[in-house]
Amino acid sequence: MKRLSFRNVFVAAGLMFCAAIAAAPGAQALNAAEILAKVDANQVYSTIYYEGKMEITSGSKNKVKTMKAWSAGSGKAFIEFTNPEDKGVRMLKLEKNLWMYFPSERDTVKISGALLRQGMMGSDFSYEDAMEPDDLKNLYSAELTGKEVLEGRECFVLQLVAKNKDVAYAKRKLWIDAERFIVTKSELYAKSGMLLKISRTLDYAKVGSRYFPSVVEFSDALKKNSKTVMSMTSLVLDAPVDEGRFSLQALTK
Amino acid sequence: MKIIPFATRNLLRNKRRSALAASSVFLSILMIIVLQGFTNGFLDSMVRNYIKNETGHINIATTGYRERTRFMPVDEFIENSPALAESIREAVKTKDPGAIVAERIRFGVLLSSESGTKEAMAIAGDPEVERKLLMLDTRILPGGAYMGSVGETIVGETLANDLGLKVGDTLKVVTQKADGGLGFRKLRISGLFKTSVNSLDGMVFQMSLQDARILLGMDNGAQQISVTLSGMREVAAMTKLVQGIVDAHEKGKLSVLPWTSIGEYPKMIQLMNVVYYWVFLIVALLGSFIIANVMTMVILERKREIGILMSMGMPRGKILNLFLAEGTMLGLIGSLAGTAIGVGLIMILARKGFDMTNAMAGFSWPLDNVIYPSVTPGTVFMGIAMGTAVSAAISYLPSRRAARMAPVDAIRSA
Repeated sequence: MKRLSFRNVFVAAGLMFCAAIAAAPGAQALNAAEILAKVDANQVYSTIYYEGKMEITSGSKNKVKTMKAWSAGSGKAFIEFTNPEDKGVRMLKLEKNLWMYFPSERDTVKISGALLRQGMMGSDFSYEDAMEPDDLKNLYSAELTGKEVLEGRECFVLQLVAKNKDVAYAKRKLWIDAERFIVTKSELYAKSGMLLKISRTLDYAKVGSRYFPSVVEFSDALKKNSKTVMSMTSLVLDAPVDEGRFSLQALTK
Repeated sequence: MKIIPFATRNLLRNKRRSALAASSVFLSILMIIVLQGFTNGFLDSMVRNYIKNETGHINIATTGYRERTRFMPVDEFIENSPALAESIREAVKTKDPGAIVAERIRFGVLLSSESGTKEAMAIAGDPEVERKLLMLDTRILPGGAYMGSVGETIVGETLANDLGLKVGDTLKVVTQKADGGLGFRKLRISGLFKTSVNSLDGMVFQMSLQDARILLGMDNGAQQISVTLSGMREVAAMTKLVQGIVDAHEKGKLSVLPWTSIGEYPKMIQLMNVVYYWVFLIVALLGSFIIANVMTMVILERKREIGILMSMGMPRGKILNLFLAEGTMLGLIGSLAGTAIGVGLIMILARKGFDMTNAMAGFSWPLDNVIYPSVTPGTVFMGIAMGTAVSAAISYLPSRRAARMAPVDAIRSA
C-alpha cells in the first residue's frame, strides 16, 4: 500500500475546507438587487403604527413636534400632531394626494404644487419625501460599488438611479448594514448630481425578525445648521389597522 | 463786424435751403420730445407704483430679510413692530406731516378653491393705512366693499375669476408659517378690485395685518415697515432720521434703505434713462447731418465770397465763427420749433393717455395699463440744448474748411 504523502493530505484538506466555506450560508456574494430586496423586506410593511417625535434644529432655533402615525403599505398614511402648538392638525396621504386638517379653521385643504417641497412642519423632511413610496427595488436600478466600514459596521455601498421621473430623488447612494440590511446612511441627489439631503439611521428596533430604523436623522444639504431627528416609539408593524382611518371623514372627526 | 446779424442775413438769402436744413432738426427734436414724453409717463408710473405698493420711499426690514427678499421670507420679521412704527411716525411727521408709515407683510400663498389651487401673493397691512397707499378701496368693483374687519379680504378680479370665486365666497389661504409649519386661514371675500395693473389684478389679494399675523404665527411683528413721503426731495435726510430711530430700537439687526437701493426696478429705471439719452443723441445726430450737408454746399457756393472777405482782411477765426453761427442758428430754429410742437402734442396726448392693456398683458411690472405721457422743464431744455449743440458740433468741420481756404485760390476757383 502506498503511504499517503503529506502533500496529498494537505491538498485534500484544503479542497474540503474551500468546499465547506462555499457551502456556508451568506457566503455567496449578493448582487445589488438581492441586497435591496433584503432591505425592502425589512422596511416595507403592510401596516405600521408609531408614536413619533421630530426634533428640528434650524440655525440656533430648536423645535419639537410630536405625533401619532398610522400607515398601510406605501399608499396610505394618517398623522395627527400632538404637541401643544399643532395639537389636532392632521395629515392624510392617499396615493399621490395629500390633505391637511386645521382645527383652528375646522377645515381641510389639499396640499399640492410647491408646498409639497416644503419641510413638514418646518423640518428637513418634506411632504414630498413623505409621499415617496418605500420599495426601492421597484423604483431604482442599483449597482453594488463595494463595501465600506461605517460607524464600526461593514456596509454594502449601492448607487441607485431612478427608473422614471416620478421619484423625488433621481439618484441615491446607500450604505447598507451587511448583517442587518438596514440603510445606515443615504445621500439623495438631484439629476444634476447636486447633493440634496442626507439621512443617517441612529438607532433601530428589532420587530420580530426584522430590523427597522427607529431613530433617523435628516439634514438638508442646501441649508446650513439644519437637521431633523425623527424618533419612533411604540412601533407596531403589520398589525390590523381600521381602513376607515385613511379617509377624509377621519381627518375632520 | 457783428457775426450774428451777418449770419442771419446769409441764412435769409436762401430761405428755402435754410428751411430745409432746419426742418430736419425740427423733425428729429419733435420725435425726441414725443418719445421722452412717453418715457417720462412710463417711468413715472413705474416709480409711483413701486414706491406706493412695494417699498415706500424708505424701507425698514431685518438684515436676514434683505438677503432673501426675493423669496419674501416670513421667518424674518421685525419683532414688536408697532412700537417701532409709532416711534418713526412721530419723528417723521414733524418734518413731513403727509408721510405715511405702514407695517406690511408680503408673502407667497397657495389659494385653494373648488376649481383648484393657484399660487398668489398676499399683501397684509392696516386696512385704513393702505387706503392711502395701495388705494385699492378706490378700485372696488360694484357689488363689493372694502375690507371691514378681521377675517375679510379683497381680491384682484382676474385672480378671483381664475379661482371661480366671487364676493361673499370664502378664500382658503395656505402658506408656510414663520416657524416652518403650514398655516391655514379662511377669509370672506368682501370685494373684488380692478386696477388695470396686471401684477395686481391677477396675483394679489389684500388682507389685514392681524389676519396675517395669526396665519403666519408672527405674533406682534411685521416683515417690513415702509415710510412713504410727500415727495422725493427729502428721501436722503429722512433716511438718516429713520436710521437713528431704528438704531435706538434695535441696533445692527435692522436695515434701513431708500427705495433706490432696493430691488431691481431702480437699477432698471436708471439704465433705461441712460439708454434713452443715448438713443435721443443718435436721433439728434441723424437729424443734424442735413445741416452738415447744407453747410458744405453753401461753402462751396460762396467760395468766391469767402475769398473776397479774407482778402478784405476778415480773420480766419471770424470766417469760422460766421459759418459756425449759421449752422448753430439753423439748429436752434429747428430745435425751438420741434420742442414747441412736441410739447404741445404731448399735452394733448396726456389728456386721454394711452391704453396699453393688451401690450402689457404678459407683464407683471408695477405699471398702470394706461400711460400718460408728460413733459418736464428738463425735457424742454434737453430738446433745445441737444438740437442746438449737435447742430453746432456738426457744423464745425465745414466751417473750419471754409476758414482754411487760401483767399487767392478761393477767388480764382469760383
